[in-house]
Amino acid sequence: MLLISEAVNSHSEINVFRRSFLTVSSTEVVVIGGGAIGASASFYLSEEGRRVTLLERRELASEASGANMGGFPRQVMSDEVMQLAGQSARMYRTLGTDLGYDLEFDPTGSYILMDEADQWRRLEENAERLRHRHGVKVELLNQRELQEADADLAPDIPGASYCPDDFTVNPTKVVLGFARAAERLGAEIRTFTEVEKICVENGSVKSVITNRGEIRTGFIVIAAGAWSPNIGKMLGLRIPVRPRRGQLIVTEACSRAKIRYMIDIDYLVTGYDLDAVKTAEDQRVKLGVATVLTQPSSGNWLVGSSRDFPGYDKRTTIETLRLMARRASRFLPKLKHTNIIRTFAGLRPFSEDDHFIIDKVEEINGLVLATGHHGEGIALAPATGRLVAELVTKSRTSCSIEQFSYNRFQDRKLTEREIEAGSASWA
Amino acid sequence: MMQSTELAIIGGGPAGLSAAAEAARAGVSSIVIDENTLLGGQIFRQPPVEFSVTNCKRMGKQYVDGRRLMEELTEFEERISIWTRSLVWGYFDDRELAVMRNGHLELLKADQIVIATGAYDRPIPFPGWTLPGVFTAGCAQAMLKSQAVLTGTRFLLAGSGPLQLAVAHQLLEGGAKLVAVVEAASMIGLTGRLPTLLKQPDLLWDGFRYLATLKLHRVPFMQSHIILRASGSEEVEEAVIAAADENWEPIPDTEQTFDVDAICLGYGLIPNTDLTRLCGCAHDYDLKLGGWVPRRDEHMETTVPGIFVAGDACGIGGARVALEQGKLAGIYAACNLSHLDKGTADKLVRPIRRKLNKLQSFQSVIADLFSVRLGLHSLPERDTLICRCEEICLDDIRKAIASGALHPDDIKRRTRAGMGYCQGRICGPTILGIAERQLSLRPGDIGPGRARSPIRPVPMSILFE
Amino acid sequence: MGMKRRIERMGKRGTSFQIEVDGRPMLAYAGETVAAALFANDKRILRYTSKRREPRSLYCGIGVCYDCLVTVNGLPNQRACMTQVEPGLVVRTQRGIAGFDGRQ
Repeated sequence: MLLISEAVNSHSEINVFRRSFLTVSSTEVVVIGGGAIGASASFYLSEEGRRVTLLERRELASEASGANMGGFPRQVMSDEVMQLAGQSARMYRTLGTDLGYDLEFDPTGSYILMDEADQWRRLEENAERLRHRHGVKVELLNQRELQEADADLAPDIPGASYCPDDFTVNPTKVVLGFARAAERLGAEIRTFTEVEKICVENGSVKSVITNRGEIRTGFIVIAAGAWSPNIGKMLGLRIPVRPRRGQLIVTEACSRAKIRYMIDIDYLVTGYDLDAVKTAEDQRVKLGVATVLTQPSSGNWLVGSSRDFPGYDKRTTIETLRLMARRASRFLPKLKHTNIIRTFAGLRPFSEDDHFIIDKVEEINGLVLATGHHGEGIALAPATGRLVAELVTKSRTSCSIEQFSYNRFQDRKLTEREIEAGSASWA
Repeated sequence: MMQSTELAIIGGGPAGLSAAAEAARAGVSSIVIDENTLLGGQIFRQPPVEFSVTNCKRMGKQYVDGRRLMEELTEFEERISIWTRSLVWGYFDDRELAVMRNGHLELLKADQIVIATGAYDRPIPFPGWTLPGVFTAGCAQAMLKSQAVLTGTRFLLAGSGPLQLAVAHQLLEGGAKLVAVVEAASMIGLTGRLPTLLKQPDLLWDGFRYLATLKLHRVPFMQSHIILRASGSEEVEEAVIAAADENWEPIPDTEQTFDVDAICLGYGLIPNTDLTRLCGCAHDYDLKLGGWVPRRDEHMETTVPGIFVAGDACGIGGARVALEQGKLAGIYAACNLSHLDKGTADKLVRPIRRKLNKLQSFQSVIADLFSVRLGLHSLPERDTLICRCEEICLDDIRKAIASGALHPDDIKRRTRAGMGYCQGRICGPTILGIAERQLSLRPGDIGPGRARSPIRPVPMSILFE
Repeated sequence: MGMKRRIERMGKRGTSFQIEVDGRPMLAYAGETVAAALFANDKRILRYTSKRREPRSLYCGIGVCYDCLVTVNGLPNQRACMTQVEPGLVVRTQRGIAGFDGRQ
């Protein structure tokens, strides 16, 4: 169901630009999507000397990139992603300086918190995996050590797994930082610009038609997150990504805590095991609720996380909010007494097999996909952006991206009927 | 904890209460929900129950009118439930309201809803506006009517329109010292509109009476003047005003300084649209009605079926308009609930519509003369706070717009303006104005901005119930 | 100042009692809001902001602006204009962000 308020707001917004003239311009690369992936790609492409135009149908970071907790939790990531995550982490350490933009990088480390004593095994196995397979530093803390680290945590938490190299950033600033730096290198950022049609000639990308004019280009990068499928439809391509909603609670500002990034051990299930979520008996797990808590520099607590498939519905629901509040207070009891300032939701791009897509598209010359990052978009944006730049400028990448290929999906071409079903309601 | 009702009325002021009365007259059961301890909204504010009123006349006409309306309601006691100290903070699904009632969670499923959430004073930033002792006319009035407390001792009133005169009168009655009443508009415009104004002779008489009180107390009434800045170390100590042109733009070298400990700002009201935006109602821009207002038809129904709006919440019109609009909403909500057939309803509303036409032409003249003008936008300086909650200044806002932010939600994202406790109620209108000027847009081209649950902060503990 | 802030001409107040404000006792009347009691006792500065450390007080007076935040009985960030007094109520003005349990 289309959010009526969204439709109304976009009506008022677009009114402004109907009065401006439709233009025709040309560029070397059009990046579709003003989130972390699109902004990062724009930056690295600009660094490589390409002329880039970034198109965003609303404002920068208006979707998932602006509706997440800004956490970089290598502790919970799957093996396939670790190499890229490692690269991204290294890039993040100097990214603020490189972009000339304060990303609110907080080297707080992450803590996976246990709920019950019989979960030690899980934490130990995960720690083993991280240390021996990926060389990631992890320290296990017992009940007493955790209390010493931060006495505000519930005293009955049996233990935790601490990864000192994990961190948090301000996700909106990551997007804005990349975008600003790209602009300084000559990129053009066009917000409130919606792609309506893509022209392909003789199997090669030719131009992009938007609500504000036509842009001739030889390259297109699709980085439109949960809306990538709709761009794909314009090209007769099936991009197997669908929206997975995550709800968030923002509390009032509180004094700075000692531990500012906590992850519920159940996140290992809700974030990474769709089957377990689907078959769970516990309503909380069924709605994909597992606590993630971050406290950015503003002092507000961001309380997450949830995962469900409501279509393109960004409303928060009372049932999920209740479950999130209760679960979060299990770990940080004093949260119960804070005021909630607002709640909102983002739509993560969830790919069919839960792995993102970074690849050139064989079927069409000049087309690159960088989408489907699910809950790791902010984390992997720097490394992804650089890979996209490599794909466009060199046609190959410095590291293997076989597992992120597009042609791992069968049925990549849409049928006539599927194309006609169209993208009318993709807002 | 999950309840249902035929009709939920949000806001216990004149619009909400008259909607409840008319709906009840038609046989509808309703729940009237108000955040305050007592009903009455702003205009019909009542002193606390612990306070024994010995002099009704001193309390003012509005107190008396308010009491009368509430007595009218007692006729329908069995049909009207009153939930005071109750905040509607969320709207989930189809007409499911989340309420915090006395600190506890109530989920209320309503067949029909009337939103009568009223209005609040238009925030006007200027240097020194955050100083203790600088507050709105609504604040001074609320303290007077509800608490019989003066918010200062030496007052300067700056604003525009008749509301300010009423507050001046009430402050003087309460024993305050007024150093001046500063009116942005020029009253000359009034003389040409006398025929329309004479349609509401008692309101016109009130205006004259208030002006006479000012004269009696030797309070200077200065037309075509506006507040320029306030200063003081910890609380306000000085108010500086300036002469203004017909656009309310300050004229250089016309400053005058007053020693004060209270500045009362009355530059008009803006509709409270948190809830109508949250529920997905469409909004339009109308300066005369106070800015962004929910779109509604002649039945007072919004673009969301089953959700009605009445009173200042759908356009500033004053208490009498609110009363009549409330009646319309109540009657047509009763229609939707099949307690009244359309034919009967249409007949019932005819005298109400006639009254409204007369009232609205009067209100239109007042709006023409006293509606806020763009000159006030030149008051804030670069480091004047625009977002009081997060302490974001004009310079921060301008930089965000210069760096590419085109919409209030975008400005919010980049600067944090609007992310604080008040969720943009205070900074929102100003930010729209700044963006419109900087981007050469017309008022109404962008906005109004998204509303999210909770529309007022609620303690996390209520989600545990 | 010398001038009374509580107006007597309109009627009679209810019972009076003590509340505690920043450690000092203050006279309040049944039915008053915290804001009214504080203002009546000439205490108008309710908090200092986090960033600029500037004094704040009542602004809108009707519960809309959230400027008048004080800590009441240990619970931080309560609107003084919407909170009723009670005998023995403990009010603290705030400096910057008030955390859990009114911790600053």
